[in-house]
Amino acid sequence: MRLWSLLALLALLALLLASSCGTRGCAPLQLFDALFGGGDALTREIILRLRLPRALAGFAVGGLLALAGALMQVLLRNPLADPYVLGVSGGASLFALLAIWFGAGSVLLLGASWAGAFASIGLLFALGQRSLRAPGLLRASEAPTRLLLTGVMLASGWGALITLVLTLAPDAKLRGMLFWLIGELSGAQPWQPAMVALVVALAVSVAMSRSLNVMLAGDARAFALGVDVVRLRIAVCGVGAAATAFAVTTAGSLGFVGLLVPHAVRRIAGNDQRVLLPGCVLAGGLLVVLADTLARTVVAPQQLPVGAIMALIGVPAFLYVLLRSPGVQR
Amino acid sequence: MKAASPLARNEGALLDVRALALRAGPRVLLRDLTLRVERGQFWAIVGPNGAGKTTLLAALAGIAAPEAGQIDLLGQPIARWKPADAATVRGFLPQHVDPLFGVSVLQAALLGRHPHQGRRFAQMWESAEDVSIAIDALEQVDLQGLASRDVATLSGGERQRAAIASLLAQDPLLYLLDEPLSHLDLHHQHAAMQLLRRRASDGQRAVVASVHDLSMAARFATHALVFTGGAACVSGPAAAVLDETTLSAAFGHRVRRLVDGETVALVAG
Repeated sequence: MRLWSLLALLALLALLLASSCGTRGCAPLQLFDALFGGGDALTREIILRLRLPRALAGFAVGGLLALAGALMQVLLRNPLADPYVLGVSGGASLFALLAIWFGAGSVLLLGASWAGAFASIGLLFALGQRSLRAPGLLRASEAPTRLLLTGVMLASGWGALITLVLTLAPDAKLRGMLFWLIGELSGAQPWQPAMVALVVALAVSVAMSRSLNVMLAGDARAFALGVDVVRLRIAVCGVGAAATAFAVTTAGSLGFVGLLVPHAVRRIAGNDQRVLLPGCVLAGGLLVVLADTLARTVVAPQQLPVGAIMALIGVPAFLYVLLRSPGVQR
Repeated sequence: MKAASPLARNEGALLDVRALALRAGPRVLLRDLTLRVERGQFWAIVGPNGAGKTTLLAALAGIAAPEAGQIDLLGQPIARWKPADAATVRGFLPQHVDPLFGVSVLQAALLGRHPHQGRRFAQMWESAEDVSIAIDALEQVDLQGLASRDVATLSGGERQRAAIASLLAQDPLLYLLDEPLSHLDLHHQHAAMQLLRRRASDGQRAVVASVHDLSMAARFATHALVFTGGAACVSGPAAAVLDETTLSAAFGHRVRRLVDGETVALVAG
């Protein structure tokens, strides 16, 4: 609880910071003016129409990716799992690149990435049916490995198609494509769908969280303790994939958040999913908002890709935590 | 089906097994087993490697469907029980316990309370009663001093005791354990068997456990089931079933029964 309050407070501060800083410098006072309807019209416009929506989108995307990453790590019993491990972002990226190639506008681009993400989820469920249903009741479950392999294969397939598109596409379109692939927040995307998805995904995940704790003890024990393992696995897979889809369609495939935020929070708070999942949402949102604020202010008016900034801050920070702590600890 | 009604009923066998056949791949493990596990009984399942002890326990737990036959838990076919309801009356500790990470010993014991906690949002966290039951279970397996340690830092035997504690915290009517003594030292093997015997002897509960140590089985179990090879088995009161002839034939190795006062030892001859 103390962890949540702390993270929530930090996230709120980050959102305020993000809304008050920009190319025109940081001015917290103007922010309050703007929020309460005062100040000059231009500043108010910038804050309410550009910075705040962008910060909210960043928070939602970061929360979704961290949540999806934590769910995937439980589902696949693999600490290296991240939101993209099931190939959802590959489908979204391919369709989005095709849309850029054919000069689609922003609405069509959004629609295309949506279609791609959910086509990929559909494919995953169709191919992964048997893996999801294989309960490892006598021996260690095969389901995680098989599902992981299915996802990796899907991602490789999408990856190959994306490479083909990048090779064949006209030069003029390449830059836009590259930026989409790296992932960016432009303030142009609507933040509402991602935020709604975040709230729904978090509520569903928290409702499942105690069963997830039990599932960590293995399929046979979970079943014996009353958890319908197959149904839970399908639900986790669905929520994780959908969360990733909403994140990817909002900001492209941002790396790093989904893999490392769950690890960092787990190191601090332990592996109780009831604490971990909400903690990941807050920490993931916080990280993306901060990184994005940095990305658009450091060399303003030039904007840096937020994914790269995030990794630049995150990698040393995580390595520090990892190497400093002695082996396994609470 | 409500879990409360069979719980309240205090008569009849906990488990009623009729004409059970088990198979693992192409191998027939067991043909036509009939077995009644009554309250108060402590069954030891004994047999050579690969005989089918684990498959039998998984079938009794309702986790793997048998090849043929009928298994009734408290008068209802086991397959018809909802997992959540079954978990309040039967517990199962598998042989292979997946390693937990980032989970304290107390949290691991609290897993056993999962089926007893409500599924509503407000009941997501354990009550003080759940915690005190889990702490009590840890005391029974001698782990009270390690309650806040990460399970991953425990030794193999301590981890096994933590797993036993989660079953004690679950406190079902029917305890099913697959090789609960593995990794335990001499003292804790003894203590664990005594603990299970005590749980069974209150007349409400019953225990079925596969055991490799024949002397332990002879000393603590009230009943035994011995896989004798060729998809057959012998079952009945422990004193009658665990004799030199049956065991020697079952293991294909001479087994001797040594008696010293009240202590009986079954050793390889």
